[in-house]
Amino acid sequence: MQSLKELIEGAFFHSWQRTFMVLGGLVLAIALPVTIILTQSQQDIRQRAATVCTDPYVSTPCGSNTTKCCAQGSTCDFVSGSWRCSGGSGGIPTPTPNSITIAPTEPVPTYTQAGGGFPEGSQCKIQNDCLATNGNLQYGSNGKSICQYDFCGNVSGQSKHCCPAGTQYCPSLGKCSDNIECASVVGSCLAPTATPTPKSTTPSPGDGTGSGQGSLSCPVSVSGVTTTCSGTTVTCKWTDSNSGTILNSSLPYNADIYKVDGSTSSTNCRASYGGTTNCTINFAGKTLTQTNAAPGTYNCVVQAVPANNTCTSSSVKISSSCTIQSASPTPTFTSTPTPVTETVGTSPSPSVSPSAGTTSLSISVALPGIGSNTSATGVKLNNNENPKRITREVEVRLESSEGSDVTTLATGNSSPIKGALTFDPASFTYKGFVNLGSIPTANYIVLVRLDNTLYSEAPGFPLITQEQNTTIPNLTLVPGDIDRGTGGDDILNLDDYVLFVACYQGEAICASETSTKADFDDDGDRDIFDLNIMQRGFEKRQGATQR
Amino acid sequence: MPKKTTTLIIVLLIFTAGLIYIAIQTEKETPPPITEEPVTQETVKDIVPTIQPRTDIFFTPQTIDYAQNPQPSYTTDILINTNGQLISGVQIELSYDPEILASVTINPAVDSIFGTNAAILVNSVDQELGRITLAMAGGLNDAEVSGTGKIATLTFSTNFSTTPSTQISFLPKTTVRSLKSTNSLLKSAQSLTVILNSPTATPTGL
Repeated sequence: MQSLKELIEGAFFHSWQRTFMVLGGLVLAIALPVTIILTQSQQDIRQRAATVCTDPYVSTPCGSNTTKCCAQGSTCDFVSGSWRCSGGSGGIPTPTPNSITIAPTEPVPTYTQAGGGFPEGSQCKIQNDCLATNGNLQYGSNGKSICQYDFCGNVSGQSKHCCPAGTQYCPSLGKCSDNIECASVVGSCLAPTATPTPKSTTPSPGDGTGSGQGSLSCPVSVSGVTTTCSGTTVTCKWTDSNSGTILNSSLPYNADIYKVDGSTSSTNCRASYGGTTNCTINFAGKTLTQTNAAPGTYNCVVQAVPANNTCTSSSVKISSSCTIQSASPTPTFTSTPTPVTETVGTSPSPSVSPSAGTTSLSISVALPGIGSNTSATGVKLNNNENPKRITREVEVRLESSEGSDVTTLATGNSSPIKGALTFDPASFTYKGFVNLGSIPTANYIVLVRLDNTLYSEAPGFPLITQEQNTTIPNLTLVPGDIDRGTGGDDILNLDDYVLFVACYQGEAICASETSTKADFDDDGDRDIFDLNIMQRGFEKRQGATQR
Repeated sequence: MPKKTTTLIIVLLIFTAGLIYIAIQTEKETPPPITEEPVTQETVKDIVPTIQPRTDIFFTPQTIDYAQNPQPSYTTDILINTNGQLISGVQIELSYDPEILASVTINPAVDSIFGTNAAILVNSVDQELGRITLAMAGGLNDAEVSGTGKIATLTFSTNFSTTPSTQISFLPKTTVRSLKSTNSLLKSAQSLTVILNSPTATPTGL
């Protein structure tokens, strides 16, 4: 047996063996450190990924990988390819004011002022996450300002924002503002500030005396009274006499009819910027038209209120006579609430009634591009009469009169309530019921959307009654929102268009699920007709949650 | 042949045989059953590689000096330089101070980087808020484009103000998109500076 020394020496006496050993040694010398470095690197990545900035008031995560924590009061910006803290008690100087650098894949950070603190309107992640620095924010017991959790951008998919007391974050303005300013931007009438106490449910014809309450969409036509509204996001509604306001004989000249659910405030409803909103009431041969081009007028909501107990529930008191209202149709369709399995290519069977004792919402929606292919005059319309997806998942979001998301009252969480709608070939609409769980009886703003549409608001301010079904008028949804980001952005923008083109051209960024969504007329193809539908959607552009 | 060489060869052969055996055994293993699920957009974001942003958006000129050269109105072009990247659309979101700047209009370039048949998706100016939004992209059948080109022309006038200068700034929603990637390709966007008042020396009393 040779000793090691002899073995090595012997090996080195032969040149090929020496070369072999040297190469082997080199490989080992390189492989070992590389392996160690790689292992350490993996461990480091895992450790950093697990980093949690435990106290949001002292340090906050910076960047989606949570690899960096910023000091209290500082902001996190993506600068020159990396996340950096700026401002506050520690960090780097704010980048050049006239230059912004946007992250390639990270969410774009909010631009905040240098110098520390959370300025008004800045994003916050949790309640009480806003530091008061300018004296304008509302202070909580912990010495920090209160993030108006329910009033500032509390929209699914949006961040919360810090706002001074009495204001809310207005996404369209990009800042905190009062209701009036925000409403003037988005062109919608804010919901009434006071919810009238409901005394009765949606009336059905012939159920005796009493008062009725319901909602009618624009234009509405009640015997003897015709209201016609045009413009952006006009809401027409009438309520029962128990709200305390009764139409008097001076109609149509009494401005009380324009009150917003009994509110005496003249600032609940304003004209949209850049457009006009008209409400015309024809009554007894006279016409009254108001155009709310100037702030301060409030003409979107019409109350037609019967005198107490003088009309049947199916009638409404106008002046001194009762007229029959167009009552909401008795619901005839239903579908099983979540989970939803989309049915493709089978016959619809929308005929089950909602279970007795459950609180439900009867929904009927129409989609552009899906409908009768022939107009009344015989013109071909290029509509699809036989959509591929017979059953569609619907999402419902409920808001209070102040516009706060109260969906959680129904389901216990803030996710939209899901249900299924079934295509009705007779009316070319999708119909069904959504179970509202334990939602308390009240008036709600009801927002409805499908998986590729914007949210649309149900006309009026529907009263949802516990353990009963409530029918909202038929809605025509706006397709096009196929790129929703996290939680759904409810807006049509370049991302939706590019994704549609990618689906049309068969690019890899279009997932199979998205490809289905991009087929707006649901005929199995993504073509010029779908593009036309999307282009029409761009005219609307913003969903109801963006108001 | 020396014994040690023979031993080494044998050891290596055994080691090689072991490796081959392991490799063959691995190949023989039954692959897990494939469950086909619809590919979601979130999955795609994981699958499709992101592209490093290189595209710049800027004004030409980047500075307007009202103090030195007062005019009833000013015009500036908004340009894009993709730095070689292929893009399919751009959305610019600008904000300005409506108290200082007025009569703001934005006109998409007829001969834009996306050609003469570019799709103008959004074109709006909110004079009250001071918010400009313009989204334009190639057509349904158009190929992606690259290079330097004009997006739009911005026109505005100035109101009287004691402020030294003001800016028309790009907002974070400004984005540049490609059909090949799920991320924005925008690297930087340079704002426009409007100099309103030159710093002057305090006049001395008589």
